[in-house]
Amino acid sequence: MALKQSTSDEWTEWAIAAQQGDKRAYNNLLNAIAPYVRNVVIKTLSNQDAAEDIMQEVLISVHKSLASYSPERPFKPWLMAIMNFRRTDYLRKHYARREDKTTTTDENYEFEAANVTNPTHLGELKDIEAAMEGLSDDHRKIFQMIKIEGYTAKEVANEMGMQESAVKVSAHRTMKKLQGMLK
Amino acid sequence: MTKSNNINDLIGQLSEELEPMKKRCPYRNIAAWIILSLVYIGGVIAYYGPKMDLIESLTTSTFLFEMLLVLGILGFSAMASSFLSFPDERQMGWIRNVAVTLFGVLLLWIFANIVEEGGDFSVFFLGSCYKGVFVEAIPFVALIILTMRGHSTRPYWLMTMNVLAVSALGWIGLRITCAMYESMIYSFLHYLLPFAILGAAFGFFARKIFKW
Repeated sequence: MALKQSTSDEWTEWAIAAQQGDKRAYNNLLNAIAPYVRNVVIKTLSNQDAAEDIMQEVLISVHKSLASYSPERPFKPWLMAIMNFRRTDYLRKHYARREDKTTTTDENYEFEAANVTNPTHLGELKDIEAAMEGLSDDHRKIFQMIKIEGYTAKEVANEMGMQESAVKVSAHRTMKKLQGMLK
Repeated sequence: MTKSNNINDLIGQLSEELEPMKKRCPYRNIAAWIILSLVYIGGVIAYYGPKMDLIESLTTSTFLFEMLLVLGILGFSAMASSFLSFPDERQMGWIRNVAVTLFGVLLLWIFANIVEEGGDFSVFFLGSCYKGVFVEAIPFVALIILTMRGHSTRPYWLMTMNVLAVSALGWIGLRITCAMYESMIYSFLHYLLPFAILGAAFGFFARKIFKW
């Protein structure tokens, strides 16, 4: 990476030289714009991995379209247009694959601590499972669907062929009963 | 391998691949397309023959206004299409605004005329629609091929401008050849609407068509 801070005038000069085949100027240009792109992207995404991916996409796009850069115009707006396009493209794919709804626990210790069952609490989980064994089938199913699987009372009512209010009452009573059993 | 090494490798690889390049010019493509299209429309006119009352029409101010308006749409949208195939549009985004505004004026013009004529939709003939699409399809494909070689960061706008440019071209071609012209609603239904529907269908795939 370029150590000293480069200016957009230098970027323009390097881009013009790169169009003429100057590999050194091109290397300087790519090394200068890479951290700039990452810094701009990370401000709007707050995701290090996404910023790295977008930065790589931008560098490849700059390479593909360098012939379309006009030396009479400043380099930065040209770069920004590519950067915004690639960021939007990335986000579109990201949401299409529903990656905003998933996460990895690899090296994501904060998420793991907050959301993944601690194995040392396994005894508690077994106690809950044992307590649930003592419930009737319908009560257990309603409780499991609402409190564990996250269905709404209306969805459960439709599934079970019951009144919504009856489902809510059942879930509430089961919760109280389980709390009593686990005290 | 770390991310940092990946980036350094990528930069090294891209730098090695660099070769002197020919700078792209936005005007070259569009000049080629306009010349090709005019030749094509000339062929269409020669094939179908100019309409009987063309000379008479050219002396009326309403016909001339309409032709100038459509020529304006053709010119601005063709230019916008060319600029849109560059990532930064060469900072000429205002051109597409002019094209859209002129198109808005044309729609108002069509609407005003339809209202004045009484809006008789019984003039619809499917065969004339096919003719309209046929006249416009070849310039449309040519324009898509030309702009596909570009690097657009606004694919939907690019497709819109392509559709506008070709619609305007087709409108001119059909307006001076079609012997069946009876009313503005006829022109709208046969010269503009079929191609607008076809263009909208293509519009859904703009991102894929202009992928780079």
